[in-house]
Amino acid sequence: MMNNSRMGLGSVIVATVRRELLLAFRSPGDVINPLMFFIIAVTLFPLGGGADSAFLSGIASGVIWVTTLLAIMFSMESLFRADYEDGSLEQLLMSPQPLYFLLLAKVLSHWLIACLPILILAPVFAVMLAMPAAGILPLILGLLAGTPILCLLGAIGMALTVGLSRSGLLLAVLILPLYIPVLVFGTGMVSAALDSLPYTGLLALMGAMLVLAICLSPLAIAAALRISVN
Amino acid sequence: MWQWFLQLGSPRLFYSKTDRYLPWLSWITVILLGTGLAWGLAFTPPDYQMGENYRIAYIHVPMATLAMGCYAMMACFSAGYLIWKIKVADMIAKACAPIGASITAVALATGSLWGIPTWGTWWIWDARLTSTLIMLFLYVGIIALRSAFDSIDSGARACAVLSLVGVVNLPIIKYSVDWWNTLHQGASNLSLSDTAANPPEVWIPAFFVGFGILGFFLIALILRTRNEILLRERRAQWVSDLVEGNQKESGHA
Repeated sequence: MMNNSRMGLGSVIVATVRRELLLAFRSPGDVINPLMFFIIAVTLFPLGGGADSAFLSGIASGVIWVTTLLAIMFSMESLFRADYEDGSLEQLLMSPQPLYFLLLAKVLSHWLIACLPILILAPVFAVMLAMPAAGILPLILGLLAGTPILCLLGAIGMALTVGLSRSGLLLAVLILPLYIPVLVFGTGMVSAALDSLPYTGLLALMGAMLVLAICLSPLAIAAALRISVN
Repeated sequence: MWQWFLQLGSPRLFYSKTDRYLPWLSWITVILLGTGLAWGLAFTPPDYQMGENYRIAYIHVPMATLAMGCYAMMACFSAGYLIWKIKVADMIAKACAPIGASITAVALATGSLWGIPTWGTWWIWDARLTSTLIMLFLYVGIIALRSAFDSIDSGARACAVLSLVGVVNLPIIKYSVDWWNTLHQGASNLSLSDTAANPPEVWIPAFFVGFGILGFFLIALILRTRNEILLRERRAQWVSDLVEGNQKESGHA
């Protein structure tokens, strides 16, 4: 224990991320399910709304963003649930290391597990939804800056509801309203680019929101976890 | 002043103090609302553009303003509860959520009733309308979160954290929706709040109704908080004394 408390911050973060990744690759459902949800849900839109390419290109960025947002929300269950049930969440709260950075490391690993695969596939589906080539780079940049915000906000909601037995839909009611700014600026970047307007200002705003979320949300996650664990 | 404020932090003193204030507050509210509504709805001349429709604004504008004010109030009391563990603060915050949600719903409903003769549509994705709708979602989330907890204490703290997260996000949401709206369509120019264009016989009743509705809000808030106090303190001696006193009174009558 003494030895543990002397561990440097960097090595603690690396150890946390490594543990989370190892756990995820031992139960690959955590990686595959959000991705499969994303793929299937995106496929539903042309089937339900019509495969006309003019219609599809109009809704492409919205569909990809909304589906990503929902996939992240559903994936949040795997961030704290198992840790809550086997008690490692209590260990995390009691650890001598600063909780702030431990939580950031946890959310970062969740992003690597649940969001990165979606990010890699998003351009493929953008092309399948007939999005013009000019929209693809802003879509990816927006997702790159926006999905960590979604993970951080989702982690607040998950931390608040992890102690409740069934939290799926409650989580949606709590955090979807908070996701709106990211959605607005993310799809806004794509439509600005398609109108050949500069979108770097919006990207900067998204970055500012990311910085704010990194600064503040670990505090809220920590407070919420303390309530849930008691 | 400070002493008075601290006393309100005790459930028992809050109950007995508000017992004294409530009749006064109720009378003031009745007078303000009665005069304001009668004046505004019946005696003020109709608007030269909107005709009689604009009278909806006498209800709509105070409700829309209060909807936001109530959220800020809930967040302040939530912070008070988290920081100083004042139980009454949580009870007030709990009372704020359903009242705020209803006020927001009334603001949206009166807005769309006003929209059909004025704009010719029930709903447009205007920045104000959209951000008010999102605020309703935030209220609903807080109510849902509290009802999901069995333990009063955990539910209270969880709701307090969520209210504070919401209050940090609310300006960002508002800003993003404003920006989104200007991208997609021109902002609707609501000149109703422009008092310079309105003569005194229009805005004086609005002033009366506005404060009347504020009074009504405070009465509803205090009554809900008092109910909550009685519910949570039902094992306390003073509550059973109170109930016995009431029973004796009705026995004499």
